[in-house]
Amino acid sequence: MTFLQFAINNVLRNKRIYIAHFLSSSLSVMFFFIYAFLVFHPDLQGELTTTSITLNMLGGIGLQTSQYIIFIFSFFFLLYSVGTFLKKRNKEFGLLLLLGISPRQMNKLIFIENMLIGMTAIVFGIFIGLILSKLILIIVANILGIYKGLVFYLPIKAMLLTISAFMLLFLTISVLTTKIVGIEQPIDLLKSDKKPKVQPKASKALSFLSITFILLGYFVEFYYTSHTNLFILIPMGVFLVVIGTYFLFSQFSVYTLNFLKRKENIYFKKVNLLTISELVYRMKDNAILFFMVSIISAIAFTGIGTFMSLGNPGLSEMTNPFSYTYISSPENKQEEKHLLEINKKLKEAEFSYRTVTVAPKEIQNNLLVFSLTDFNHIANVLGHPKETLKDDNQTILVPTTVAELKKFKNKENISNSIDLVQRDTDIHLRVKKTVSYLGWDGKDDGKRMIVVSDKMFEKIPLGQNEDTLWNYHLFTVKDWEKSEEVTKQLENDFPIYEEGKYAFKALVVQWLVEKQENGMLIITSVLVGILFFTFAASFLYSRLYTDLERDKHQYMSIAKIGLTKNELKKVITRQLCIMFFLPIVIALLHSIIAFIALQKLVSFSIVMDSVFLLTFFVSLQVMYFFVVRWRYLRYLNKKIM
Amino acid sequence: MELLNVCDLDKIYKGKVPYTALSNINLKVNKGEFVGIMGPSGSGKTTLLNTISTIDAPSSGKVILNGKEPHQLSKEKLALFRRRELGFVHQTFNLLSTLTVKENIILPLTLDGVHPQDMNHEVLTIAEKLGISNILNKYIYEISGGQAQRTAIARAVIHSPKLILADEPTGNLDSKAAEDVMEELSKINSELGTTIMLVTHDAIAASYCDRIIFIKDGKFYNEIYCGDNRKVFYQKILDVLSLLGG
Repeated sequence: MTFLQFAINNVLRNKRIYIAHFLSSSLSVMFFFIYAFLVFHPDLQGELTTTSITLNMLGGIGLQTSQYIIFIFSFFFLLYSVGTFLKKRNKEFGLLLLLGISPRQMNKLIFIENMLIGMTAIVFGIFIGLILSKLILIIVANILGIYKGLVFYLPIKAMLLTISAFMLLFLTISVLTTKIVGIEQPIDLLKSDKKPKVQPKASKALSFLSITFILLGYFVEFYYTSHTNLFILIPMGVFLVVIGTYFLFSQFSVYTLNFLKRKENIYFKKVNLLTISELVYRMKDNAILFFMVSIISAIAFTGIGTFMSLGNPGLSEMTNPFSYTYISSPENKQEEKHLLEINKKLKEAEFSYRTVTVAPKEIQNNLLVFSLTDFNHIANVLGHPKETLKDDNQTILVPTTVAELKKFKNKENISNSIDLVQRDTDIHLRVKKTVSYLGWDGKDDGKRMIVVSDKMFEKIPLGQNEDTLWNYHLFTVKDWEKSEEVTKQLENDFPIYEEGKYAFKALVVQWLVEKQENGMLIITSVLVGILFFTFAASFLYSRLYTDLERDKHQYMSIAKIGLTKNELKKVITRQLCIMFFLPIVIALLHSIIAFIALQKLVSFSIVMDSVFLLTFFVSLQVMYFFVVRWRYLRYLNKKIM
Repeated sequence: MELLNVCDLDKIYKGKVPYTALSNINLKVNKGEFVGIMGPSGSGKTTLLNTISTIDAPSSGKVILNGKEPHQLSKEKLALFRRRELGFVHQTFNLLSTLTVKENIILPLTLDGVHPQDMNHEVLTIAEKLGISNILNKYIYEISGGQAQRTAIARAVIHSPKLILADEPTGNLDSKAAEDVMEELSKINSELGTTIMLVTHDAIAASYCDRIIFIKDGKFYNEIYCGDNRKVFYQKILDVLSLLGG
């Protein structure tokens, strides 16, 4: 056995210890590779030719940013994970020191071991990435709305980038970990797992503070939703919650358990004695782990939830209430033909829709004026009640952007009167009311929409360059998300901007563009989220593995006093439940609060998305719990009974 | 010829209440000697052994081993010193569970970069001597306590160290296995001429030694030599132990 063989043996025969670390390393590599695979994809270079929708700058930046994010977080996670695994081997290192391993050899050993795991993880990660790549391409094409699909290619560049990036990462980690181990007196290393533990104590003040901080953090986040200009509140709230969570695990939990211990009628009841006394130590030992797992999970949940809601169809609808807008100048001779075409196509495709034609006046001081009749038509197709005006000097304000809508709803900064200035005319209007839905798409021109009586509308002169008004043909289509095919045909039929006499806008296109932008964000956040989640799981695994050895001895001695198989199962189940679900419950709580706050910022419901997402992660965790419990019990039963 | 010289050795554990584990220990061990250290629990026997074996540092005093002062060496040189001059046998065996019996035995040679062919030769010779040739390819969890301790002894002698330090090597074994292990140590001492220092509280194990040093409360208490008769020596040990009260 040469030194190299010895190092290889150490890794291969410690595979149960290293498997979680190896898998999370491989997963990092795989995700990084998948991003590189997409970044270098020939069809995703610059403007997309295969579709009318282009992959814009944001998408490209999104992909690369997520690559960086994955890389940076992988570095810290893997470093932490290697650190914990090495601590577990303290006794082994102590023994090697005893046998006369030199500090340089020790570094070499750890270095070789790390590089070995790293290299294997690189190969394995890229291999799995390649296997999954076809599936990824289908998913990505779908998310980005590229309906012709993306071709498969042999990603030499992506492979080289992944290999070199992770070589560097593992090299750095290997060098750094040799520093972690440090060379202590071998006697300290040999005895490190035998030191008796001190009874954990917790401060009452800090326990109280932890709850206060978390509640205060929640409050600050809620306060932000109604005072969106105070951006500083977001990091403040997050900071409070993070600090609070730390003390929650390190102080409050221990304090509560110690409190329970003093209640003898609870503490001395059956297996409670075992569970609680064991938990106090476990809480203190695992406070940092719990803290990290819950914060990482909360970030993952909230991040994915936020980005998922960005891709929600509600978002585009929020800014444009009409599925199609056909704008026609008075000189447009094809107006009738085009309208017939739109109606025909929609009917052919069996869409149910409503349509209306309006002719608003553009006013110099940034207003868009509608006659009451026109407006009531719009209200009708949008499914809102009719409005009335008492006299000609009254007006109704209609929001055209989400920001405006929110302002109107909260009754902020709404003036009582509005001046309308056009050529020589200056009309003073009193605001009768505001409506609480979007009546126009004002995202692009930023004009304010007002409604005046038909008589007043007649009085307002035309703009300087206008002879007659342009017609706006508006369509609201049910299930407009599915109108992509029809829209494509229509776009082909109407050559764009023929002498600027008409324009055709389709919500579905707007939506797809946004979907593509957001799709990038979703891919990013979901993959990064899954990565975070996996790391959290891997930390838990490593912890359980360490505890298992200790538990074995403990339960062996308890079993001698007489602990039935079912009682053992009960004790273990309770302990594992806490390990698995306490951090997740805290993370869920944080994310739910974040989602509720987010819901107040957008006017469509994100409940479904959030519930779906959280259920998905919780069920993953439940599955993980049952698998681990089964293995844990099987191992203990085999050793003890 | 003198192999080990311990001069004025003190060991104080710092803490809220400093605890003196060893005070003013002086002892000399000649080459080829088989020395036992005995004393009640907490008397400092293991601390003394750990200090001599360089895995724990003394608070003051000197340890001179084969003409060198190991505690003064740099980490790199100290490692080489441990690797070449010392061999260890522990109560809990301290074998690596991820390695086979054979791999555990040759670990010191591996660290020293010995050629694999030479390793194989050495390991066969020593395994033959200790009667563990048939379990060389087994893992540690597959063998008995007695076999594990003989594996540990094999590992302690494979690199022909000057001094073997044994800390309660029979503590975890039944009386038959304990007897076997002591026979093996005794054989190594007589056949290979290796100096052995043994910490034990088992009078039977101690009776294999040439000399027993008794310590109590971290101080030298008494020493007795084995004459021609091991039975008599055993009785003498029991007498001192009953006087020591522990």
